[in-house]
Amino acid sequence: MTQDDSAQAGGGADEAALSVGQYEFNADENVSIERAGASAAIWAVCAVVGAVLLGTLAVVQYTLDNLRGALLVLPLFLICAVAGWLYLGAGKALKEVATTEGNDVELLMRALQRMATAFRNEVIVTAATVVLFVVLYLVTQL
Amino acid sequence: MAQQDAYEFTSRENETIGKAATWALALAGASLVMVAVHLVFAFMGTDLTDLSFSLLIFDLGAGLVSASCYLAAGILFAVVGSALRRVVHTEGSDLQHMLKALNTLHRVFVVRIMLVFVTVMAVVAVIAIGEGLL
Repeated sequence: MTQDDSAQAGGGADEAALSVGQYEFNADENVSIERAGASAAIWAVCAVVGAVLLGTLAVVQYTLDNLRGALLVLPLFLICAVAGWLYLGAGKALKEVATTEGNDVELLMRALQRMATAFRNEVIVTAATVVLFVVLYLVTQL
Repeated sequence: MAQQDAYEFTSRENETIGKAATWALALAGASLVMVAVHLVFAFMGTDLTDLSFSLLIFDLGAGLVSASCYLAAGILFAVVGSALRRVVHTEGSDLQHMLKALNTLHRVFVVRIMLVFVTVMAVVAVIAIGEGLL
């Protein structure tokens, strides 16, 4: 039976599952996976700390009656918070691949799915930032 | 048979991996755009007529360091994306390509974490210089 056949055979059992493949990563592979998970989690913590700082800044601006300043900081707060949450989930799933047994491929797929969502969000945010920079530059030059 | 060749990802798994590859490559492109943005702002935002060496270093240096980190991240994201693409399009060494992608991903995050530390250090240095402590 090929991998595709086994995927079709088990597909109806759990539609939310991203994989039905069975493979157990060896110790060397687990080291690489765990390392990627750990660095993703640290990066997520950086994003969460950034979100907390930006959230605090927004609250401070609001208490100083600077609603415009608070509204400007709010999108950055949301971006950092969402990125932190996504990378934290991806890092956790990657670490689970290394520390658990019996569900490695499914966990790897979940980690990659979260990572893809985080990458997509970053691309959108980067594009929006570049457009904002150009608009601000043109507005200030006029 | 070596264990890294013992598993072939299914079409459903390849779909998930393919999406991650596409967005990793898109992020590589976005990072390269940010290199250009940081370089432009570094040179446009620097007052070259000011002879203060420390200000010149901070104005130009911050932009160049950011641009370098984005360049490194862009190249590494491209490597991650291509490795993931190879997982989807090739047969026989899926796990080798997947592990290469994960190892490179680790390096991307290390570069980004370093950028955060450099930024924090730069902010502390600017405040210290402003307060006359350095």
